Amino acid sequence: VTSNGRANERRSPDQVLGGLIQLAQEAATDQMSVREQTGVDRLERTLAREQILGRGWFAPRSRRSRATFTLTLAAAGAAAAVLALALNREPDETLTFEVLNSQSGRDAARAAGAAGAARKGAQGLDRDIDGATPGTKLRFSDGSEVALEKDASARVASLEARGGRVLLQRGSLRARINPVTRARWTIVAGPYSVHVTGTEFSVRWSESDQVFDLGLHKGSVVVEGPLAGEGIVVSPGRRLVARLKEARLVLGRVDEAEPVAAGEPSKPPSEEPQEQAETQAEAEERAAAVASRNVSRAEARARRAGGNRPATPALSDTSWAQRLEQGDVWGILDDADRRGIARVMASAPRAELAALAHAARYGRQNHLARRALRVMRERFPQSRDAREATFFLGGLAEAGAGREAQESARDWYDRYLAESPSGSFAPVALGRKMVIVHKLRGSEAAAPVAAEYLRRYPDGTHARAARKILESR
Amino acid sequence: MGAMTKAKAPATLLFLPGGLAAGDDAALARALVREDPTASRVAWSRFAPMVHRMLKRALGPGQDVEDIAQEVFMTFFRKVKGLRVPEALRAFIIAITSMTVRYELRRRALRRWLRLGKEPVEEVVDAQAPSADSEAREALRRFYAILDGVNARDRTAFVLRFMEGLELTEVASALDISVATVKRRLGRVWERVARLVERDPVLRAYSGQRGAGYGEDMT
Repeated sequence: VTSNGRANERRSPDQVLGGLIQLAQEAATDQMSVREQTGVDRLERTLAREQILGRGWFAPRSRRSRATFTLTLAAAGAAAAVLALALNREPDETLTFEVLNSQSGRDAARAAGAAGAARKGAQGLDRDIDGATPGTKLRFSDGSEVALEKDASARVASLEARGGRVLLQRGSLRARINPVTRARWTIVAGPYSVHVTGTEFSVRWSESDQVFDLGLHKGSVVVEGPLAGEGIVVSPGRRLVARLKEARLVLGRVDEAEPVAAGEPSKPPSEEPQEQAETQAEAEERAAAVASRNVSRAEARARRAGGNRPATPALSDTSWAQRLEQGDVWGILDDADRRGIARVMASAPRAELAALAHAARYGRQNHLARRALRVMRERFPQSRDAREATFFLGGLAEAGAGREAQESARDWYDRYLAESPSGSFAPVALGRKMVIVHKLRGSEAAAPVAAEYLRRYPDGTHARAARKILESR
Repeated sequence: MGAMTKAKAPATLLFLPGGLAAGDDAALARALVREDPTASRVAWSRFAPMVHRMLKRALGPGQDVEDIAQEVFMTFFRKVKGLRVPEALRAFIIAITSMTVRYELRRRALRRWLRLGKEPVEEVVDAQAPSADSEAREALRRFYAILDGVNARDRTAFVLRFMEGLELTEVASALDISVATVKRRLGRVWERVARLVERDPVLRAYSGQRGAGYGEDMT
């Protein structure tokens, strides 16, 4: 019998594998995120750039130049391999851990045949450990510690050379992760994953109430899961609470009893921002954007270092629009930081503001992107960029948490469709609106939108979903 | 790419019934070859969901596949003029996606080798499972960790056949190998993965929790 009380059935290996394949199929369907859908915009930029520059990653080359290219690539690859072996070598030993002060840990150790009151290493993997005994703690060989509260049940799912995965099945834990270089830890609590490099925080997960509660004391973490869109960066002193039954996720301060709601605007977006609220919101956005950017930049650097894409050349003298064409997203964001975000927002020409908004979107700096897009609408209301900003604001809102965020996204899409009925993003806007209405109010309410979609775009990306909605009534 | 990317046609032209969007794959292929300015968007609209889905299933859900999807489409647009049978446009992009997947899997394997250890924890997979079920997510993570031990070509064949449901001839075409070879590879990889799955107590236990009929009829 498993932890949730269901009895196991004995299944053949083929059935087990078939079941896992089915699970993988359900996890990856035709549904694309807004960011993925608008990838066509990015693709066309790249295609246009290659046409202008006459050279590209996949550009055809002469036989001779191709041979030279291959030799150069091979030499560079060999050099990179040597360098990687010298600099990037992981420690050989997988981390181990021991459980301190736990009755269940001692029981598990006895069951595993280990001597003493503690169990170590792989022998303890995937065994439930409860925090019934005060002071129960998992101590890892890299110096990291996870302390379990009385109500907690957890297990170590896997360990690597620089981190591991700890599953919190219920209750609360407090973690202190040693900030060693390239540390990679994940704490899984219910449907949430907390990605950690080095920090102190506490997590609580209630299976019965479906509540996730994270308080961050030091460092920064990225939380992924329902309502969290593409991931939320939590900075020190912050508390993130997700209540799944209420479809509500709020970010507040650690010392607050219950954080106040944050995130997307709950009402249809207003053209007249309120002066005082905006100032506070801007301060929040700045802090969040900086924390978020620090994490994302580190990831981007790591990706570039290990990836197959060429490094971006220095482009500081070219315009932001040109740099965006050449993929220098982080250069633009750094430049904007240097010049001062407030000054850029107030005085940058339209093309620069648009480039900054796109760079922030591509770099997943959603707070900054949202701000730039709103400023675009205010300063250049008649421009095509301003109309497209409306659509992108919808996408950013949709990535936010909770029902209010979805309603806000629907309002932005509505506004875009009213302002630009034949705009480039009208098919996506209408499709996303249909999906949101279906999610919020069901098939009956979504049917008119689905019919409208099929009438206008019978071969569009959302056509299949639209037909399903109409058939399901 | 010629004029295909030079001008962006109004969306109304792209999606009107009876226009290029309503045409079949052969019509779209011919439009791409003659650099119809509306064709790139229609191609994206038609194939992007499939490409993203294939990439996610091949590499593991939760993986950021957007950059790789861009590479697939860049290759597609560069090579589409060489397509000899316009009706085979869908097979053409499936083949490119498969090739890109194999390249990406080999790149990741090389990185693992250079690190002399396993892939970093979150790179293996952090699945957005269909349910808010941490056990399902853990099961998927373990499943993809097993697939990481399968070579790139076999894994791609496995995904195309069992996750995407392609016919054997379609898998053979995508991988540019014979049907007999596909059969042999699939038999071998199924047996190996099933054995490794069976050895994993968490995967066995998870499968047991799912209802009757789960995983039936896959083979």
